Amino acid sequence: MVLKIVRTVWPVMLTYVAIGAPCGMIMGQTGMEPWMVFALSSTFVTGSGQFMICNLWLAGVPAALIVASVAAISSRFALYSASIAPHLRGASKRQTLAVAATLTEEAYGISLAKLVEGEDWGPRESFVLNVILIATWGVSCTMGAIVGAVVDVPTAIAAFVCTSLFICLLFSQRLSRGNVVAAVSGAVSVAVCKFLGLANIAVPASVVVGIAIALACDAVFDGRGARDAR
Amino acid sequence: MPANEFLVLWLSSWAAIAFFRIAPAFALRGRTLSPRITEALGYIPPAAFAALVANDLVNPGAFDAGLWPALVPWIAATGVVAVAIKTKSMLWCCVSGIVFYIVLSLV
Repeated sequence: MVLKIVRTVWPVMLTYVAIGAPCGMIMGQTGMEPWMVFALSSTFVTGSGQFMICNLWLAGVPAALIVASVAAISSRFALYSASIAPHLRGASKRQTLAVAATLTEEAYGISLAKLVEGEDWGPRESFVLNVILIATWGVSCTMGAIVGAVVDVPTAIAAFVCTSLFICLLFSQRLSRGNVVAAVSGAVSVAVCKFLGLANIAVPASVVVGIAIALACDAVFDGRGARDAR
Repeated sequence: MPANEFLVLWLSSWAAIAFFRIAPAFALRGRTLSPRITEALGYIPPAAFAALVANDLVNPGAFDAGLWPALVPWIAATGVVAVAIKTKSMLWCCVSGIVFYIVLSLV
């Protein structure tokens, strides 16, 4: 079963190595020991959350705000978890816990497709897939931290890897009016916060601003649509 | 990073992430979310990723070092946007981001 899953998921594993290594280097540059990098990356399994911790830690942001920011960015897992829940109807509580607790974005996409297709795939296969990807990510990040301690990688270039990753994740979102409004409002809000000297709370506050403006925009357009229909 | 501060950051953040991963799977077994809540949750990723990109690119003191050094990340980011739209690949975005940044820094 493990070999069958590896054959399915090897391109994702390669991507994890390519992204995990620079992520580990950046984590190492924030002063994290290799054991810290391994512990954090094999439990978080979210490049954006890990990059965020590093960025905000280097910027001197207080711990409570870092945790709030990581929680805000990781709240998307609630969506993945919510959408995969109906497909785990036949699973035991322990299996549901195992699959949900180890969910990653890529594993979610693959598992959901397999579960929907009704292939020879169940909670056990989903869990093994998750563990394979978590192990790949954790080891890649740790190796990056170890190599990064020996090889001097310029911080600006290494940090731009995470900017590139965020750009990719941003442009992977569905192109809809609400998403565009949320993204533009969030970005503008960050700029306003930073120019006002509120850099510490710029990201979490701007996420809330972006969501609020997108919902308000929807309410206005939906209301106008209903009036037009009448 | 001191071990005690790391432990606080790691465990607190992990608890939040684990909650988001686990709670909906258990809470929503056999239920469906209201459209309004689903809509609000759906806006988190674009708002968050745009905020993170802006957080990396917008720097009020960037022009102190001159025009070109301040423009390098913006131009490189524009190139990555093109790659992201074309490929949707995290790997290619990261590789192109490094290449664009290094090449522009050498100009």
